[in-house]
Amino acid sequence: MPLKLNVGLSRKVGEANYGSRGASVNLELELDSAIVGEPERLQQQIDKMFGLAKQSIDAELHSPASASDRPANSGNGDRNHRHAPARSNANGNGHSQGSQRGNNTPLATAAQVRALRAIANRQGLNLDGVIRDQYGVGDPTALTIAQASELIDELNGRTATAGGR
Amino acid sequence: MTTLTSPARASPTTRLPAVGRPAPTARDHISYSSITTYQQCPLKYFFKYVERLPEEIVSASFVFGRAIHRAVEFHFHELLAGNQPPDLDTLLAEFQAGWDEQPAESINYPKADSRDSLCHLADRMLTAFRESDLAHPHGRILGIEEELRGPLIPEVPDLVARLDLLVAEDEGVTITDFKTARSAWTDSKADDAAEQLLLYRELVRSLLPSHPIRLEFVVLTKTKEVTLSRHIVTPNRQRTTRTKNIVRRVWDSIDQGHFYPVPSAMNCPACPFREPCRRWTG
Repeated sequence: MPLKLNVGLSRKVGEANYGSRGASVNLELELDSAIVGEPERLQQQIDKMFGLAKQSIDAELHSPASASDRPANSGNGDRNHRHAPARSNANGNGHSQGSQRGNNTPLATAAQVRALRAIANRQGLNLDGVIRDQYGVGDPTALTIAQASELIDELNGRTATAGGR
Repeated sequence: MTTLTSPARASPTTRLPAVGRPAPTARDHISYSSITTYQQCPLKYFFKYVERLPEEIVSASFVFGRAIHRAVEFHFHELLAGNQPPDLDTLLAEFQAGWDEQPAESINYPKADSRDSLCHLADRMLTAFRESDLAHPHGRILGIEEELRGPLIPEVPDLVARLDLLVAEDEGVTITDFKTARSAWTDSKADDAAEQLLLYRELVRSLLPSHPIRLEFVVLTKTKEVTLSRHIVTPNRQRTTRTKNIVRRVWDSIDQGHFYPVPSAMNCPACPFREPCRRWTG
């Protein structure tokens, strides 16, 4: 009868601009049950599995592709946790986890989305176009809180320059 | 979990909470307000959240507070959109619009108040608010009347919270809850009210896990000389745990269908469910 060795590791790191990312990995290996009689070898297998898990976590958390500028719903697989509450507001769908990116980054608040639309309307901008060009997502509800905040500052700065506020 | 079924459907006021029956837990969420309603009077909770009886009479104080909130909310939306702070007339128009949402005939005024007197009070309060530094947050506004929802306590429905204001500053984020009050709050009063913000903090922690979270009440008094004061709430793990345990126990009581009236000289006169309460036979 085979012996199943299951090793799991998870880690979460904070990010600037109100975000965080987490990754977890679970590895399962079938071994010959006779290995229980060789504790040293079994321990080596466990250490090796943890080493692999650690490498995977490090690679995931430090890979540029996993940073918060990844497009929404980019298919992170199950390596990324979602652990924050959903916001049932105008820019979410009211369902659990409806306002989080798959990589754990909170999405723009309803107030930010409303502000972006108001600013764009005032300035005669094609907001969706600006967002697509700058962030690679289709509309303001897909921005993160940090991105929305950054864009509001940028657009308001443009207003200030143009309008002398 | 089962929804309470009512024995008689002829009139909403003839429906009775069925003591000992499976609990009316059709709700998939709770709010801090619903919990405090139960703590104030379990039968009021039953009429409001289980039976969903219409509130034929609403206190002027409630309508007033809601309309002030609307004006304050509008102010912050304008700031976030990069506009100049709205002038007083604009804020008063928002206040009026908020007031007009409530049918006039359903508003119950205390002896000393009328619509006019409350509009004058709103004028003074919004003037004081506009002139206060509290109207001009130092950081970046992230959320205004932002609704958050999440599971906080095992076996209790999700908590839904509406954050009046969420602002990011260099040192973290601040959750601000605006209150209108008959008199200035003492620190002790703020401490008594802290549970609401402690629960909200738990939701925001899940949303922004790597950021320190500051909690504050901003209290505007409904007095001749309006005052605005800021009361910081210091997070405390033991208090947060206690608050969650209270919520869990309150929910357990709701879940088990424990509904009974709590007569109170302070609460009953303004209760919108006085009639169904009188008809309730236990």
